[in-house]
Amino acid sequence: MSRIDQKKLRNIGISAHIDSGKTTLTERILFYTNRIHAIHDVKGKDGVGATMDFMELERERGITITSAATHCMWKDSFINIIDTPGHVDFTIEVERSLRVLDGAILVLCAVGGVQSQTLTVDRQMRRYHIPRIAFINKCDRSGANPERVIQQLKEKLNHTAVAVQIPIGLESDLQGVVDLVTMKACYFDGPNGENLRIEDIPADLMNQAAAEREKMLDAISLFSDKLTEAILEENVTEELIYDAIRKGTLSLAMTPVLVGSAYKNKGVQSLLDAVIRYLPSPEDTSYTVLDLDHDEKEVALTQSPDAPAVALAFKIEEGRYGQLTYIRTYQGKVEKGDTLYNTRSGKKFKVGRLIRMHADKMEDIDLAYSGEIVALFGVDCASGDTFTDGSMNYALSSMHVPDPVISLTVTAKDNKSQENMSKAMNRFCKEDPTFKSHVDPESNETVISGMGELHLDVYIERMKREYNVEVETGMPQVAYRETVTCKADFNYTHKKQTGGSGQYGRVAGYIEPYDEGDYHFENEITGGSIPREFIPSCDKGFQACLKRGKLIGFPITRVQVVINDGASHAVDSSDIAFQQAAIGAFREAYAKAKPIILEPVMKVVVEGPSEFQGSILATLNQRRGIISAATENGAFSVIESEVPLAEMFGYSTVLRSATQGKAEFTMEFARYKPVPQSISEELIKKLSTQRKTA
Amino acid sequence: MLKQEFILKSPIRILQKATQGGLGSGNLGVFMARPGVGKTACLVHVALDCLFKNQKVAHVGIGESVEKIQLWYSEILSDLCKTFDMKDPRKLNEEIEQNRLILSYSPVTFTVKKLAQDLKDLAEQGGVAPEVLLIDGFDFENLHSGWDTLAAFKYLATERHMEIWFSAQTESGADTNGHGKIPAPCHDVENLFSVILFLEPTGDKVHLKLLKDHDNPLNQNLPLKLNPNTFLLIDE
Repeated sequence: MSRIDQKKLRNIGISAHIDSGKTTLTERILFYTNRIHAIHDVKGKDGVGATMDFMELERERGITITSAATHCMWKDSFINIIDTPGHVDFTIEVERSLRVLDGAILVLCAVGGVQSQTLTVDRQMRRYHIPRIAFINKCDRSGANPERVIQQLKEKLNHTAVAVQIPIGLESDLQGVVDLVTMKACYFDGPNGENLRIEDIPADLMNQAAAEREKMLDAISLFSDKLTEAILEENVTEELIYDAIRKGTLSLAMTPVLVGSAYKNKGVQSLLDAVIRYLPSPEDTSYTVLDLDHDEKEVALTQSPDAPAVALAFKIEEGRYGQLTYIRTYQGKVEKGDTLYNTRSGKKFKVGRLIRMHADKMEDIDLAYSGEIVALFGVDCASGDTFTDGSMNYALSSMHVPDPVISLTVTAKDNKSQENMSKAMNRFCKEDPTFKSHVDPESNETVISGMGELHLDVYIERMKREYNVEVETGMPQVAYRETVTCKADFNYTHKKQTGGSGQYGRVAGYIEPYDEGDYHFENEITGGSIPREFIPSCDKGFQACLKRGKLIGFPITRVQVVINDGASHAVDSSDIAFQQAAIGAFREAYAKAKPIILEPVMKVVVEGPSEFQGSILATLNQRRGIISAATENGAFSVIESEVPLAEMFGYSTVLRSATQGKAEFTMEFARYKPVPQSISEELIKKLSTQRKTA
Repeated sequence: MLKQEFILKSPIRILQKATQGGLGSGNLGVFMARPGVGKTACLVHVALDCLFKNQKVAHVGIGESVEKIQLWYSEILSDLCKTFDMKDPRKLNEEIEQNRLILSYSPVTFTVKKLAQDLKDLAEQGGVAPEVLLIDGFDFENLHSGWDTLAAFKYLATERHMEIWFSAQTESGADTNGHGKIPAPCHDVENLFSVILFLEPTGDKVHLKLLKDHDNPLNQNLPLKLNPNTFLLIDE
């Protein structure tokens, strides 16, 4: 199979806030590129559901859960598309996709504009330096206001947003778009908008189009001296404009903005043209890896097909025939029959089947070159693993994985279910690093942890449907922490010298609060009072104590331990002795350091009609929420607050009833804060009761 | 540490002494200047002074996003931390966020009535009752019923026991000798303000002039100057 021309390859993602229309947009893209031959609505009026929402749960709930990958051809370009979820509970999917993509389409609702999850996905795009184009969707909706959305892109996301189109009509009158580059009107005829008709701009829009074009030229001339000259000489060509917009977009200095309505079949073909024109190919992007054999020094990769292969496994899926591993190749090529090396596990494996995916349908291929996104079958690996040809020990930098903030106990209803439940957990944990499971050593219960109630809800539902496992769930458990509030000294001797070989070690120093991270160990020993070889053992002993605090048994954080004195015995001192001394020392000091309990506090953003602002504020205030900001956005208000996670369970139901279902909220972890005294006492009492009854 | 130092050394302390104890509850004050001279920085300094004393502050941005306003605070705090040799402003930022509320409005739809209703909701339903209100970006130029609108603010300040500070943009070349002492656009409504300050760039500094101090004779020797690079108020 011949190599895809890198210049004509686009690896893109489609990201946005929930319900902005990403999946519908992808469906239309697949239709217009002849990948599918029928269009289905997302919320299945025809009972089928959009092609990309292939998980049953997705179709039923009308939300996208997993990020499915697919590919298509537009004109003579090859596009890999990953459709990604917008809900913050599934942020890991978006992050993973962005790691392997070269460009993105940011979809915004023409009514809702920049919403809270838009902010999150934008931050994610910035983290991975992903050039993007914005598509203002749903221009057919009542209240659609693309100009306001562009303003929000500028103000809220700090984008240099430049309109390259304006709509012809809005709301129910949406008829097409004006292309400000060609200065022509585009209409989308046919039952599915598949026939493009290009005409002159309607007379009543001419002034507006001219003004917007001038604004566009003014903004993009910064990226091209040739265009600036051409503007002065009044001989601007379309090529110069395309070139300038591309340069601005690739350098992340601007975001071209297009408009349309995927649902009403308007603007999608122009969007595809924009993907080819303005988003990068693998050749436009440089990639680096870390050389694990040389202190993780950064090494630049080349695009050459003859260079050694380097690929990243970014998505794992368990299916009927085994594990499917999605990979992105960054250098060289991966061929069926090749032997690859997993730099994390150190294992080699043979490439059996090589597949190109289209949502849940597979196409066997023999070869994948750099820049391509394909899948492997039957490879035992984890998401985030790097594969090479074995000649070098590289790792693509690890993907940012947020810590889980909520956990739940799950109990299978019978033995058979228990077995299947374990299989389900293993699979889900492999697929999603933000979903964790473990067995609590004290209660012997299985505990699952994730990014939010919805996140865990979805996995429980998947266990039921895919593994036939019915579970009972316990109360959600918040991930508390403990910390110290003042400096406390320790001077502890661990001694067991009752005949035969003994143990001896003394450590002295102090513990104190530490703001710059979870834990810091400082060695201020002078004069060798503790031999150097035992210092790491002291550190190990202290760290062992961090796992369970004395107040409520949760991990200890934000503490610094300094050792400045000690003593050893020529015969009886050992690693174990100093570990035990450190453990004793920490326990001695911890109680004196006035420990407190910390709780996770979430940034909660609620959006709803302004008429419900008072009710929304009340729901947050009742939950110990601290209101930090409120934005009036036309008929909508957006309220930002910080609310302890412990108060957020069941909030979606409460909000729904307080606002007639018209408000929605997102939440993400903000920080850890001390719990109020009364709650602290309650927690300590509860733990003490649990211990007595255990 | 920084809080105590700031409270003791804050030039706002000097401003309060110069203005007979500050603005006071129920009163309106305004910082006037040309664009880019430092009006918002002054408002942020007033806010920080209050926040460090654990007072509740609401910063209202008209035509400014929440994120932009937050950026002002984090930049000025960062500069303050450098000045007072403090390493990490994050913790301080977190502390002041407890008592700071940011309200953002579109200039097209903002009204005093809306603001009053929102403050009422926040107090009754949200448990937030700011003592100091900062209004940044209020359009004095196109004030059709100027007196009535400012009177509504005055009423709001009295009813909610707040002091309200404004920023007002003057024209280029505006001075304090044109309309008596108070330049446009506040000259027609000066009686509603208790304290009026004018920021004037002079050389490499920005001089803060006191144009009105309640009904008292003016303290001509107000030594407040603004560093134009950091926008920190510096005490001479």
